[in-house]
Order: sequence, then structure tokens, then C-alpha cells
Amino acid sequence: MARYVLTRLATTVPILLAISFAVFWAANQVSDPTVALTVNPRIAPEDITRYREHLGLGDPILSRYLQWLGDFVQADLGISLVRNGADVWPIVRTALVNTLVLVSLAVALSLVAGIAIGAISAIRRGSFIDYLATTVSFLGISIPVFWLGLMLQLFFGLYLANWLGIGPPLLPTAGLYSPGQQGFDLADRVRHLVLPTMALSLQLIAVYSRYMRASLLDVMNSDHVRAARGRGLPERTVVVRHGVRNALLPVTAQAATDAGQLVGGLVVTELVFQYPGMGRLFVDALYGGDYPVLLASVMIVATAVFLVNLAGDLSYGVLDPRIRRGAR
Amino acid sequence: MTLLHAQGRARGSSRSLNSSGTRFLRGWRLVTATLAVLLLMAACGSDTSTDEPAPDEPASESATTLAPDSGESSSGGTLVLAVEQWPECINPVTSCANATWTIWSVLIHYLPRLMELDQSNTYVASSLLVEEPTVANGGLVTADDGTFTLTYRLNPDAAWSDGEPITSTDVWFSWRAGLDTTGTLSTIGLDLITEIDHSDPHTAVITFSEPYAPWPTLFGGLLPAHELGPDTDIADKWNDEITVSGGPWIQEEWNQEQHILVPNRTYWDTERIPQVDRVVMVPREDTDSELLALQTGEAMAAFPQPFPGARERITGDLTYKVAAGTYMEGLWINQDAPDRRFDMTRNVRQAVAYALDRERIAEIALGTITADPPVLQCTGWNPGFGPWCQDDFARYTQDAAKVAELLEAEGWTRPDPDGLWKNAEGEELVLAWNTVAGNNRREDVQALVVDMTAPLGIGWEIINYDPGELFQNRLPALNFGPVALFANSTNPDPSVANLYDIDGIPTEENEYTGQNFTAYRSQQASDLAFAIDAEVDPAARLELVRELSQILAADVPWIPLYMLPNMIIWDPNAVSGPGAYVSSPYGGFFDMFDWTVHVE
Repeated sequence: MARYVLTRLATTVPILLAISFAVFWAANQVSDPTVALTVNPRIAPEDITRYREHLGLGDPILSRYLQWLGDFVQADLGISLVRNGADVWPIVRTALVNTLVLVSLAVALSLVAGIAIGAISAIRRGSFIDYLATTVSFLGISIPVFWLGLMLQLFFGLYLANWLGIGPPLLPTAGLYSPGQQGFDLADRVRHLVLPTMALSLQLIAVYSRYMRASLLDVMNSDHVRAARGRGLPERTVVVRHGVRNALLPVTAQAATDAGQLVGGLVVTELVFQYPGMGRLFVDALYGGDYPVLLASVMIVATAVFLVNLAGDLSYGVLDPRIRRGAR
Repeated sequence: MTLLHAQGRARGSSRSLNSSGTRFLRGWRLVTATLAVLLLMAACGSDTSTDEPAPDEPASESATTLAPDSGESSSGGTLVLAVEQWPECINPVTSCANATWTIWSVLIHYLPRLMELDQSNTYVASSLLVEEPTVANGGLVTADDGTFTLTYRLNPDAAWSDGEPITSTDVWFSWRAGLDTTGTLSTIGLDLITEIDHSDPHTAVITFSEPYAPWPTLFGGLLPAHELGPDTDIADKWNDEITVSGGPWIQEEWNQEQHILVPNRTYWDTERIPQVDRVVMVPREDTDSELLALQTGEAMAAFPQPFPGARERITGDLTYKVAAGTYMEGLWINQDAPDRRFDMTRNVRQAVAYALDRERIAEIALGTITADPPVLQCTGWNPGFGPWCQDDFARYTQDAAKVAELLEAEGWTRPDPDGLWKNAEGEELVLAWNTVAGNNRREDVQALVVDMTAPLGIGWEIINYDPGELFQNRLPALNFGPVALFANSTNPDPSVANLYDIDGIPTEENEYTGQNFTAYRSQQASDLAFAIDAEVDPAARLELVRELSQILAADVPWIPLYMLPNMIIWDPNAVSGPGAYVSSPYGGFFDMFDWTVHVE
């Protein structure tokens, strides 16, 4: 097991390096933190030149990349190019915490709801509920996250409030907390998390429910379930212990391997809901040419995706003793 | 038989699944119901950590029921504003200050100015001064040795929010901070100052090495020496907090999620003491989000970029005001375009100008935003800023005869009356034209112009780029066009030397520095542009501007189209007062000290 983990880690390093250089190169091609200065008549060309030198932008791209890499391996994420020399780590840390909260909620909700819906569909196979769940699932898979986010904003923020005649919406359409809120207020924070969590998780719920349904149907028709029934175990025990638990295996693995896809939805969700997480930070840094922040975001997210994938692989062994024994 | 058996087993399994499933379902129902209750509790939870009403409370229901009929409002309450571009940092000297929204949403409300733009965007003495420096009162003196002395007499009542008086030492400190701060953004004008005498706390005597006419633009954000000094490098200070104010507001909080301002009750300019108890600015970083925040009552006013369809989309209780802004959009003609098939001579440039119906272009570009799109009739000055824009370009209205006359004079012919003009070398009059790909307004203009000029024998080859490619790589290296459609900013001061400086044409020799993006080579125009910068007498300055404007209208270095408008949107049921500073470089929120919110 340890050897497997080490091998995976070793193969990941060059991938991360390639990603970092590709992002660095691309960011330098499409954005520049000083570009807005060139059309500002109040800024002299020599001031722009001096400022670019101050930021180190006059150096060759490879030299700058190696400089960044050298600092990065020493756990120095550098300083932001657009925040007047602010350290990158505190900026990224704040966004990371916000994103972890959102992602954790969305994934937890998706797993709980997806597994539940999938299980019910499988148990009630061929029933109205099954057809309804299937239809809704396909709709959920088909709806783009950005569109869903906008619709949630309009429905909960505008139409529902208007219909109910309640004025300001119960569920805020954007931000991390209410304007003017000072200090931490759990209820306020939760209210602001509801819509982004819904937007981010609906597609996942649809996907997980389909996996769960297929997996549970497969398991319930397997020999060990028949054997369990043959031993006279109560049906509930058969379903929950022998059916659902085994059916969870591919769903869990799928959830882990879907982590990369989740990032795409995360960026869109955070932009739509003005949520200050890693996705929004990434986009802001990209447009602003702030490559130290951009690279830090990419490296952290890429590493997280890799680790979650690895955890998904390892979870097979935890959830399925046969694989664990085989690993020995 | 085998098939029947299989079906029977399947049904049996299904029945047994159903019976267990019912119990399973009951469990999930319980979980789902619990989750729903928790979510509902969270959603209905009230904010308890603040004594203020939640700022999103009054905008919709309460405002609708309280104020609209009477239109009356009272002081107090919380004003919530949506801000389109959130500053990354707020240091007033470094690149943070290059973001317009750093000024609009933060600095303009805290830092006092020596000279100030009034509602007509003309510089006047601020309340920090006893009087405006003039030649007549000895405030502006040009010595025989060519040095220029500017004397400011400060209001002795002026004080920072911590009680410290605002003195000439603050003027001196602001000058030094502008030059000495690591990563300082602009040193224009400050680098011409040789000395500031601050021996008298209420008099600042500033000596320039040469006459500097745009002197009112300097010291637009005075810094408190006692708070930020003695080190004049303030790169590490005030990046996320303005600790002392010399304006109508005091900063209570600023971060990436909100900006809270409270009134400066000790502000010496009593006419500008704010009416509301608190202002909260929140980021809504695109037009749709801003509009939604206003519609839901989560914000009361916004100062967005004008967006297509605004006249139709701003409905219901919301109202808005549009006025010419600070960006001039036009066809910039690059005379050094590397891919040009023929020289962009004056006749060709004039012919293109005469081929355009600019009123129609403005209507297509801005007609969905404002019913009266402003056509720009001068090349470099903002008609909303003082008397400088001379309308010399108004002569260029669509005129097929003029087009023909100008081109034929240079040997162009049009063998096919429905075809394109051709020069002596057989090159067709087709102009490569760049703009920002995906910008609907500009692409609409391109489509219109192609149709508009085809009957006049002028063709276009449209090659659009993403903003980074166009503005970062091509524009600074003059590797575009020969025609590009984009907007350039304007200032209240009539200085245009950066646009027409003959030595400011970007070349490899000068490492592509300079902002003469049209490669316009007129020594006379260049000299006049610098003469405008050196003339401190406003009347004489206006004459120079007139002279230069006539030359530019004749030479057509670029073709002005329209001023991009500014727009402010607000909910009149929630707030009164917005609209007076829509076209101001200070932004539409500048006068929010005068605004009131409708509160119970």
C-alpha cells in the first residue's frame, strides 16, 4: 500500500510541474497587471517601465518561472502583483477555507441526497417514483451550473419574494454574509450558503443517484445477497448491510474521481454567487495577470484533486475487504 | 420455463425490496425532513450580532410602503451600494490607486483635495482652501528664470478626523510619498516640483522647475503626515485600511466582502456632513448581479458600466440616469501599421471620416442605453469637462462627393461604380480593422460601418483579438490596424500631450514607450500640445486648445465617434439623491453625503 501511494505521489510531481508551467505561460500570454496603465494618460511611460521592473515583469518568462518554482518548493508562495505586495498565502488561505466549506456542504448534500434517491429508485424500480427520479436526474445532469445558479437567484431572490410579498429575499443571492454584518453569525452564513450549495450539488445529486441506482440493482441481484436472504436475515438488514454498503463502493469511488469536474462547477458557482472562494480568486487572478496568486490557486486545487483521487482509490480497500486482502 | 422462473424471482425480489424499502424510505423521510427544518431555521435565522437593521431590509418592502408616495426621507439609516469592481488594495499611491473603483469607492470619500471638480467638472478651490490660486491673487507666479510657483492658502479650520489640523506639511508629505514610495504609480507633475515650503502651516508654497498648467490635478488626495510619516515610503501602509480621514466619511471596515463607512461628525465642511448613519458597499462584479441586487432590494444604488438594453431592462421601481462619461471611443488610425497596403495619408483619413454617418453609429452603439447618444466632435477632449472640446470635427458628416474628391486627388480611381476604390498600384481601399473580440457594441459598430461604407467604395477586413492580445501586445507596439476601435480615457485637464507627442510614438528604439498610438507626426501639433501643458493662464490655454483642435480636425489622426456614457441606477423607494455626479471622474457615489435613505 505504501509503495503504491509513493508511486502515485512520484508520478504526480511532474504532472504538477507541467500544469504550473502551462498556467504560468498561458497567464503571461493573455494578461498583464500593467496593461491598464498603458491607456491612462496620467501615467507616464517611464513610470510604467519602472513599475514593470519593480514587479520583475521585464525578466524572461523562464527566469521568472524558475524563480517562482524555487520559492514555491520552499513553501513561499510569493507576493501578489496586484495587491501591492501582499503575501499570497493569506489571500489563498481565506479563499481556500471558504471553498472547503462550500464544497464540503455540496458534496455531503450530494452524497446523502444522491444515495438516497438512487436507493429509493432501485428499491422502487419501475415505479412512478423511479421514473420521476430518473427524469429529474437526467434534467439535473443536463442543466448547466451557471444557468441553474441564475435561475435559483431569480426564483428565490426575486420571484418567490415578490409572490410572497415578503420584500427582501429569505435566501440572499450573493456574497458571504449580509451587507453590514460584522462578526461571525452562523445563521447569516448558512443563509448565504444555501443557494450556492444547491447550485453546486444538483448536478452531483443527479449523477450520484444514477450511479447508486445502477449499483444497488446490481448488488441486490448478486449471489451474496441471495445467500443473505437464504440465511433468513431480515430484509432491512439485507438491503442496508449487504446491499447499500456494497453499492456504495462505486459511488464513493466515482465521487472521488469526480473531484476534478467539481472544480469547474465550483468556479462558475462562485462567480455567479459572488462567493469569495478559490474559483473566484482564480478568475480574478487570471484576468488581473496576478500569476503568483493564479499559480498558487492552481497548484493547491490540482494537488487537492490528486489527493482526493488517491483517497478514492484507497477507499476501495477500506470499503471492500476483498481488495484490502488482495493488497497484502 | 427458465424465463418464467426468472421473472417470478424478479417480482419476488421486488416485493421484498418494497417492504424493506418502505422502512428504508421512512428513515430517509426523517432525515430529509430534519434537513429541511434545519435549512428553514437557517434561512429564517435573524442577524443578532448587529444593532443595525439588516441593510437588505429596507430596500424593498419597507421602502415601498414608507416613502414612495410622499417622496420624503429622513436622515439616518443604512445605505447599501453595489460596487462593480472591487479594489484589490487601497493604498493611495501605488498601483492600487490605478483602479478607478479604488478612487470611486474608497479614496474619494476620505482624502481631502486641494482643488476639486465641481458638478460641471471644472476645477475649483475645495473647502480645504481659503481661495483658489490665480495669477491675480499671486497664487500662480511664473518667474523670469522659468520656474513656476504655486501658493495654496489652507483653511485653518480643516482637520483630520483624529483632530490633527491639515497643514502644509501634509502637502509636502503627499509630494514626497508620491515620489518615494516603492512601486509608486504616477510621478507626472510631482517630478517637476523642486521644493515645497511648509514653514507656515497654513500656506504651502510649491515651486516647479517649469510652468505646469495641469497643477489643479495634483494633490487630489492629501495624505496625513502625522499618521503615515515620517517615512515617506508608504508602500506598506493603508493597503487595506484608511485609519484617518479628511473627508466626510470615516472608514469602519474594508475587506474583500464589504466596505463600511460612517459619517465624520467632525468634518469642517458642515455642508457635507452625511445624512445617513452608515454606508455599506458590497461587491457585485457584473452588471447582471448589480441589477439583481437592486431588484431584490439587497442594494439601493449601483454605478454600473452601461449595458446594452438598459432602457428596456431597468424596469419596475428602479430608475436611472445616463450622462457622458470619461471614455472616448473612436477609430484610431495607425499610420505605422506594419501590414498596411498603402499609406494612410491625410486624404485617405479624411475620406474615411467623410464616409461615416457617426450619428447613426452612436445610435447603434448606445441607442439601447440612452435615447440621446452623445457624438464626439473633437479629438482628445471631453465635452463634459470644461470648455475644451471645440466641435471642430462636426464638419465630418457622411458625404460621398467629399470621399470621391479626396481620393481622386491622390490618384485613387473607382473603375466599377459599385466596387472599391483602387490606387495607382491597383490596391483596393480595404482597411484591416481590429477591436476586442466578443465586445457586442464594437462588433455591432463594425457590422454597421461595413454596410455603411460599401456603397462609397471603402472595404474593411475585420480581425478582432481578445483584450490581452490587442491592448497588451499589439497596441503598445503599434502592431494593429491600420484601424482599431477602442476607447481611451479623458481628463478634466485639457492636456493631450501624451496622444500627440511626436517623440511619444512607440518604436523599437524607445522600447515601445509612449502613447501616441496613431503614429501621428505633426511637429506643430506636438509643440502645441506641450504648449498647452505649459500655459497656466486658462484663457490663453483655451486659445492654444482651439488652435490644436483645428489642426487635428484637418489632419484626422483618429476619428472620434462617441463618449461612452456613465450610468447610475437606484431604487427611488429606498434612496433619494443619486444622479448629480454621474459624469464626474469622482464617480456616481461621490455626493452620497447628500443622499438619504427612506427608513422607518
